[in-house]
Amino acid sequence: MSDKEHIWIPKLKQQLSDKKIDRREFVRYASLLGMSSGAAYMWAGKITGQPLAPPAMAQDMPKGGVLKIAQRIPKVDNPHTFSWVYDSNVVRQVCGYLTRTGVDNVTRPHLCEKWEASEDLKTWTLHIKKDAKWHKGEDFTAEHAAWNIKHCLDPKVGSSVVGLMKGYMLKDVDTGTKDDKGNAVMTTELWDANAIEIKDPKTLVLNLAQAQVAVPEHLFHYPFLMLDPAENGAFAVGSNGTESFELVELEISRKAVFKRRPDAPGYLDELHFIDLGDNPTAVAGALASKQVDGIYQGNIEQFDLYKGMPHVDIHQVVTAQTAVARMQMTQKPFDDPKVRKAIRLATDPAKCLQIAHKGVGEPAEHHHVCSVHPDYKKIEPLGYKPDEAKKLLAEAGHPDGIDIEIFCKPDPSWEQAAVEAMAEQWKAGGIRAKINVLPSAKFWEVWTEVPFGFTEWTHRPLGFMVLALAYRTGVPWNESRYSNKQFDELLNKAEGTLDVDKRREILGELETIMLEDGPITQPLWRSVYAAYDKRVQGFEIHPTLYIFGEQLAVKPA
Amino acid sequence: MTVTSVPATEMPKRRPLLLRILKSITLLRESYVGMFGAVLVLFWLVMAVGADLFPLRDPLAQSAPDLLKPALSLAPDGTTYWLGTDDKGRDILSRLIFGSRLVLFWSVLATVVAYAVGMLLGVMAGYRGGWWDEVISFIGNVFLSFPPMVLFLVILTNFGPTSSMGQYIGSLGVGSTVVSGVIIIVAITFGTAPQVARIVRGLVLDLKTRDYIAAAEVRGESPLYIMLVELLPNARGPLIVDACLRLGYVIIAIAVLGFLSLGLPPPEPDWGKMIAEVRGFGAMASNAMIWPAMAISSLVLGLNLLADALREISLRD
Repeated sequence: MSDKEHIWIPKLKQQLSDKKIDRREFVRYASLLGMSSGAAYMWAGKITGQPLAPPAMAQDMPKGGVLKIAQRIPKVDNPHTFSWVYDSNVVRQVCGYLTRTGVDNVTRPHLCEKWEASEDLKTWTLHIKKDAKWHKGEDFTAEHAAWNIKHCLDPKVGSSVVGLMKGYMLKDVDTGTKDDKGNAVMTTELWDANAIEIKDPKTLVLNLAQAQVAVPEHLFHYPFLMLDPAENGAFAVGSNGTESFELVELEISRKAVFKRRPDAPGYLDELHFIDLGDNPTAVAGALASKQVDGIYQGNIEQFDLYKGMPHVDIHQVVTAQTAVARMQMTQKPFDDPKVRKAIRLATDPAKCLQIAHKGVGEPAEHHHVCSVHPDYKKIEPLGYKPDEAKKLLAEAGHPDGIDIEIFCKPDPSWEQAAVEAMAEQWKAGGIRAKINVLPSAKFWEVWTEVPFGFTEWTHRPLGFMVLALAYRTGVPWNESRYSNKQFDELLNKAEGTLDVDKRREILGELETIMLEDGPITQPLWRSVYAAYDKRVQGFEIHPTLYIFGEQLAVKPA
Repeated sequence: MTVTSVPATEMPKRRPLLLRILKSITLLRESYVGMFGAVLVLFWLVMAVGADLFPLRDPLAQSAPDLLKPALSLAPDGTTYWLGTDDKGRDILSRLIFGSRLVLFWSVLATVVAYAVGMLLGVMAGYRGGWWDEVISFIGNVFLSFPPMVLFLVILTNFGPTSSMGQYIGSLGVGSTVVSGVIIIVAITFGTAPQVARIVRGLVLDLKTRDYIAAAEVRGESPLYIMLVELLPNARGPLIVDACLRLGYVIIAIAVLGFLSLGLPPPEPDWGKMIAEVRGFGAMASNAMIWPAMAISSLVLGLNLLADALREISLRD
C-alpha cells in the first residue's frame, strides 16, 4: 500500500523466518504497515515456502436475482452509535469504511487506496481512492472522512469508536461543571487541533498522541461507517452512500430491501434482509422451506438440524466471540476485588462450554483475550477452586457467602444456558445467584446500568482492541465502570508496540491484572456458523459475521 | 283464641365430614373414569409431597458429560437416568417430580385466589342486584372479552418480573420465584375470576329465591351473612366440579407461560420451561420434551376425568 517500506517490515520478515510469528500474523502486520496484502502474502510464501493461496476468483458467478438472508432488522437511523453487528450489516451495503478486515483477519484499504505509517507509528497518512464517489456523483474526499472521524469521536454522539481511539486521539477536559457529588464533570476532545489533518482532497493525516499499531483495524470497527456529512450522521431509506446498493425499503423488525445500483460492483439485483424474530426454530424453518436463502447466524442448538438439510452449506469459523459476566465495580459487593476474584474462582469455563455451547468453541480464561488473537499470552489459568472462593469471600467480610443477582437475556439461548451453568457452579463457592432474564429489547436498554450483567462481545482481530473498548477508564462501553491506572497505561503501551513478542508480554501483564482485579468472569469462546443455500455463491463467513452483499451471487432455482 | 304448640321437627343431622368424604370416594369407585382421574391426580400429589423422600438427584445439578441423554441411559457414577437428561445434563425424572411441587402449589394457589375473588364478586352481583350487578358484570365482561392468554401476556409483560414494577419488587429482597408466582396468580385471577363470578351470579340468582334465604332475611341476618353462610355453601356443588376443570386450565396456562419464558425464573423445574429450553434442539431433544409434555397432559387429564366423575356423582345426589 505504501511505496516506501516501513522500518518494521524487515523485522517482521525476520520474525517470520525465525518462526516467532506465523504466516497470518506476518500478513496482518505487514498490511497494517502499508505493504499490500498481495505482496505480504508473496513474501510470506517466499519465507515459509508455503504457496501463495490462490485468490477465490468467481469468474462464473451468476448475475442477477434476489438473495434473501434472515437477520434481525433493528433501528438503523444512527449508525455511528451502533452496538450490534447486524445493525451495521444493513448500513454496510450502502455506506463503506476506509478499510476492511477480511475473513482472513487481514485489513486492507477500502475507501482508501493505501496508507502509510510513520516510523514511530504516530502519524498515519490515508490516501483516499481517486475514484471513490458518493451515489449522488460527488467525490468521496478526505474532508468527508475527517467529518466522520470527528463525528464518531464527538462525546455527544456516544459512539463506541471513542473506546478504541481515546488513548491516541482524545484527551480528557474539565467541563467546568460539577455532578451531584461535587465531582468535576469531564468530557473529551481531540488531543490536538491538528490531530485530524486534511492535506489535500484525497489525503488525510491522523496525528496520534501516542503510537498505535491498529489504526487501520480501528477504522473498520463496525460503527465507523462513512456517512454523507450532508445527512448529519443519520441514515434512512434513500440515504447517500459509497457502496453497491441503495436501501429502497426498510421496516423495523420486518425487512430491509436493497437494490444494486446500475454498473456498481456485484452480482445480485436485490438483497433482502428478512427479520424472523428471536425464535431460532422459525429461522431454521424458513431456510428449510427455502423462504430465505441464508441465515446471519445459527444457534448452537440448530447445528445438527442445519447439517441435516441437504440443500444447505454450513460455514463455520473459530472466533473471539464471547459473553462475559461483568460486575460494576462501583456497586457493592463488586467494589471489592476479592469478591470479583472469588466469582472467577467459582466458575468452571470448561464445563460452561460443554453445557452452554455443547463444546463448540474454547473454554475462556477470564481475561477477555482469546488464543486466536496474535497477541494472546498463555498465563497460568485460575482454575475452578470453589473452596478458595469461599476463603476469599470470608476475607472480604462475607463468611456466609453472598447473594447476588445476574441479568441476562434469553436470546441467543446459549447465553442464558451459560448463566445457569455458572450460577449452579457458584453455589459451591458460597455464591447464591438469582437469575433475572430480561427480554432482549429491555436488556439492551439497561445493559450498561445493571450491577451484574451478562453481555455478549463480538470478535475483534487483536487482543487489546476489546480491552480498550470495554475496560479502559471512562469509555462509553465500559459497562463495568472498571478503572485501573496501571491497566490503562499498559493498554496504551500495548497499542503502540509493534513487536509481537513484546506486545504479547504486555498482554500477559494485562491478562494477569484481569485475573486478579478485573471486573469479569468469562465462561467461553464460541465458534460461530452461518447456513446458506447451496445456490448462494461467494459467501465466506466473517469472524464478526459481517455480510458484504456485493460479493454474493445466487444461482437460479 | 287458643295457642297450640307444635313440636319442633328435629332437623336431620349432617354427617361428619370424614363420612361424607368416604361416601364420595365410595361413589367415585363406581366410576372407572373417575377412579383413573383420581389415581393420576393422586400420583402427582404424592410425588409433589414426597419429592424429598425419594432417592432422586438434585433437580438443579448439571452434568457436562451427560447432555440430552435418552431414557434409561447410564450416568458416569453407574446409576441410571430413568427418563434421560436435558440440555444441561440435569436429570429429567428429578426435575419432573420436583417440578410437580411447583406446578401444583402455584396452580392450586392461583385457582383458590381466582375462586375467592370470583365467588365474592359473583355472590355480590347476584344477591345485591341493581348497580352492584351492573358494575361487576360490566367489568367482568370487559375482562372476558380478551382471550385469556392475551390477557395473561398483557399483565405479565407490563407488571411481570421483567417490568419496572417487578424489578422494584425484586429489589425489595423478595425471591424471584415468589415475585413471578405472585404475578402469575394476579394474571390468572384477572382471567379466571370473571368467569367464576358469572357462574356464581347465575347460581345465586336462583338460590336467592329459595325459602331459606327469605327465612334468613326475616330473621334479620345481615347481607354479608346471607351471602357467605347461606348462599355460597349451597352453590358449592357445581363450583367444585368447575374448580377441578379450571385447575386443569390453570396448569396449562402456567405451563404455557413457562414455555414463553414468562413463568417461574430459571433454573426452577417449571414443566413448560423444560419443554421450551430444549425445543431448539428439535428431534435430538424429543426425549427431553416428551416427558414434561406427558406430565402436563396426565395431570390435566386426571383433573378433567375427576371433574366428570364428580359431576356424575352430584347429579345422582
